[in-house]
Amino acid sequence: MSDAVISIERLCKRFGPTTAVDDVSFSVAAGSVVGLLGPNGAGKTTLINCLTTLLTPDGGTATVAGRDLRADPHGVRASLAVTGQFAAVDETLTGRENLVFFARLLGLSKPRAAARAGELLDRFGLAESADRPVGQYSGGMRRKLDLAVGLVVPRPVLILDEPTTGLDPRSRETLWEAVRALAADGMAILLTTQYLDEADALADRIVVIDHGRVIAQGTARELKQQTGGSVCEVVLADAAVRARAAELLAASTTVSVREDSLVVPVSGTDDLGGVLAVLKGGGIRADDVAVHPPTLNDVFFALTADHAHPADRAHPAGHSAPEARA
Amino acid sequence: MTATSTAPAPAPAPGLWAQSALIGGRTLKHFVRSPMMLLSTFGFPLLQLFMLLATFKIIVHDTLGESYVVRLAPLVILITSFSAIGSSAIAFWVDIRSGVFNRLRVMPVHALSMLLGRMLGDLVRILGIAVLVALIAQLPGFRFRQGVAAAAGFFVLVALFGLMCTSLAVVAALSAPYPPVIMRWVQMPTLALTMLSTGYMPREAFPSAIRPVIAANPVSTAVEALVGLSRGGPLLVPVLATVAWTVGVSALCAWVTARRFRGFVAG
Repeated sequence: MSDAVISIERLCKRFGPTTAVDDVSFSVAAGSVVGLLGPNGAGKTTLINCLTTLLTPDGGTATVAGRDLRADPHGVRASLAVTGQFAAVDETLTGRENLVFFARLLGLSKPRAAARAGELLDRFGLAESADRPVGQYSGGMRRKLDLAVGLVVPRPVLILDEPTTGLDPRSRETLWEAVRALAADGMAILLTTQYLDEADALADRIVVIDHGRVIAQGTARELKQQTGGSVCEVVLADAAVRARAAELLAASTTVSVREDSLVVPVSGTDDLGGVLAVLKGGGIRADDVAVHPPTLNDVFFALTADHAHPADRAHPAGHSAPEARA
Repeated sequence: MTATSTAPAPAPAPGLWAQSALIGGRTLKHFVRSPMMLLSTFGFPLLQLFMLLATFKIIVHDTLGESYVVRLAPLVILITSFSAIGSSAIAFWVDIRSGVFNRLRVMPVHALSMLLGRMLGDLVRILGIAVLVALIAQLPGFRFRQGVAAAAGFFVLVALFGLMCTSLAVVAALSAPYPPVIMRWVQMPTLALTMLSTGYMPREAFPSAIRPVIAANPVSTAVEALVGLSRGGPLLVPVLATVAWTVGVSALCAWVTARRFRGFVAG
């Protein structure tokens, strides 16, 4: 990949007997957003910690803006802007002082740092609160300041580690707009998230990981198609009835059993009719039936089910070869 | 919204000392914005100075034939240094586990500057408070009577004592499982060292059995050296003993710090 700004090949990280990142390969091109999707404990944060040089990988290679993770960690750090799950800004300092502090650490003179801080405060709508201690900021304002701090000097790569966790919808939207603008300006952006809608809204390409492995990658549309386009959720409160229904449905389709329901991928009315016919044939009365677009849960359950039975998989997930962005 | 187009071109990242100075400046800002810290490291020692003077100055003057402030002012300066250990250690404990520290770790910032910045900030604060205490102590009669060089030497010794204190603070921050432990580690030993020193009363006032311990106590050697450099008196032995104590303890702390800090930086 000639235009890959982040390039990860067969990266591994182990903690004792646990392999937190297992043979992970993918790349992020300039001007694109790749969403790294997975549940808690899937290995997202370990992977990010490797990429940001906080952890040394045990195997594989990765380059950030052409700098090798192991050979030139300082160069990697000089190419990165990182915004974490918990805003990494100084609560005692004001918003402006935070920006000036980090800008000066990166080599800007006092007047240039002050000018840059002013620009960024304006751009992120923080000018009015610029001289208040960050301890008095709302969660959304902190996240915006955190992102602004990452941008005090130009960087080719932005890593966003769950940037909108805990934010209200309006703050999320504002942050999304900022991220889109940064991608449009040519930054290569790696976004980790637990929210499919966030990946949907921002990512050109999504990499799904679980138990440290890449279990699928593609565009949001491609991933959803792997689950069959939509899902049919059959609510069955009675555990015995639920188990019997699962057994009947499993003969013809992929079933994931949830706490009080069964979820089956359906790609059209025939599929849906089939599901209802099986239930009726078994004399099972559902408490409720709903058809909706797949959520992250649905995609995820479908993918992990695929992963457990690779032979049944219609579209093999390429976790061994680095792929170009879609 | 343009993102990087207006961003200034990256300059080469500043060197270790420039980055340490910036981080030290942040440490100082935290200090002056924390009323509790100002009170505990500056307010209480000053209060102690004036309370003790009010209570004992006549007795001491009658017994020793000199003003109590002559030794009490240097002692209070050392106490402000001691009280910096706990507050600085707790602040550093929190700092090295904070998002800001994590951000610094993923920036092209020298790892050592996070440590040196903390120590520089502490040293400037300890020296600043020492100057203020020395100035305020002029009111009840504290004076530098040995000339400018001796006065400069007075603050050099205070800086060495401060270096020892900030080194201890760093070790405590890197070793404590949680912050309240730090106060337990720091309060009793520093109080004992202060009480069993020649700061409050001369060595002769202690039982003869413990006089060697009193004399060897770093607070005693530092008080004697500071008295020598301000009012006048024996210098060589107390100064050398103070330098040996402070440099020795700081070097030991540096060794422990080097081993523990690597773990924090590497995660």
